[in-house]
Amino acid sequence: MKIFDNSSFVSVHKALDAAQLRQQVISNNIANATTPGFKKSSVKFEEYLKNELNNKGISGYRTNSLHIPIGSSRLQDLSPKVVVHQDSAINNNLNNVDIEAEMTNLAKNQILYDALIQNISGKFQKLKTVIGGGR
Amino acid sequence: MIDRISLGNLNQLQKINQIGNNSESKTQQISFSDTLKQALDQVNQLEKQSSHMGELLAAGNIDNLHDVLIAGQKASVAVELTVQVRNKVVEAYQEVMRMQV
Amino acid sequence: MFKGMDISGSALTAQRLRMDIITSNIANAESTRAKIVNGEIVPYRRKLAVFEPAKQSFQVTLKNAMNGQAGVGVKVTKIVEDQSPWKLVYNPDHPDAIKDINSPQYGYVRMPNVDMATEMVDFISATRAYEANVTALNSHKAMAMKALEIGR
Repeated sequence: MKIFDNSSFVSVHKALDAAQLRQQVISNNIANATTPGFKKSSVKFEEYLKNELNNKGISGYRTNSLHIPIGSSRLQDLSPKVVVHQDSAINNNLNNVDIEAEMTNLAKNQILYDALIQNISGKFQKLKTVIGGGR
Repeated sequence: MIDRISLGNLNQLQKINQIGNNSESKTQQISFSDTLKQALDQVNQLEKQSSHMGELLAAGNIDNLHDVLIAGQKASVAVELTVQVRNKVVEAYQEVMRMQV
Repeated sequence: MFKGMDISGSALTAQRLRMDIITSNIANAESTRAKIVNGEIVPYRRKLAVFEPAKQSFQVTLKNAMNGQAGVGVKVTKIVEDQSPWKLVYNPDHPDAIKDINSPQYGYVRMPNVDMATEMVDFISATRAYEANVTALNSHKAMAMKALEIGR
């Protein structure tokens, strides 16, 4: 339905997916904070979304929606990416997890998730109010 | 002479008629029942997706909890919208029927 | 759906096991007769836990191949003994003292290679890691509870 297809709805939904994935990645980093040789990972999504909303990226033109997208693509095709940090500062056992930074990111991400949930919840409430005629 | 004048008028009338016919053939004839059917299909689609999410949730195959809830809310809003529109249409019909002729 | 909680849970299990090993080391810091190796009684050797990132199934790996994967936590794969040399304490009256007069270690008792300071530092580190993972678990739970409030 078209009322659910506007860019605000889709981007908040995708940001929720990214935040959930990020929470898992940060948990994994914290769980492996003492494992020798482990390299931390992080989730990239917000930059892609910003580029897409400002139309800064160059995207390939596809003749069929099933083709693999080139470059930045439509909002519907954005998805978060997990990148492994191979080259951060490391300590003696080749582990580069900074536990204070990870805990901070955990808290930030949780607050972000809560804010996005509030936002989407508010959208639904507004739609329901409008449909109900304000009664 | 009168024939020529009337012929001239006739030709002009025919030209206007042709223009009218061309514009009609370009616009698509979408009837109200088609629109209604499309809308109901979309609502049905949302409802099926919400049910499917519910099944996946029961089977433990869900990655993101918010997906289930958002699908449920979308279906709920769509159904409520359809019901309210139906109410309004029925109300309008009854209003029309009440008119004294 | 509860993948994040599983990750933190695996870490809690691993850190708990590490703490158990440390307490075992501390308890056995004076055990001179731990086991028999090649007919000879040897003292207790300090134990260590080996941590490794947990492996996930091939199906999950394939599914996440395009966008990268979050990983599934940590696991203790084996418990090894620290091979550093015994501590030698001079105590000729001890029943386990070396009685061979010709040995340069005559009168010395071989004590377990457990160093209290190292064990306490490890213990504190394990406790801190445990608390960090408990915080991560709580945050997952809070997020899921918040998600259930959509539309309410």
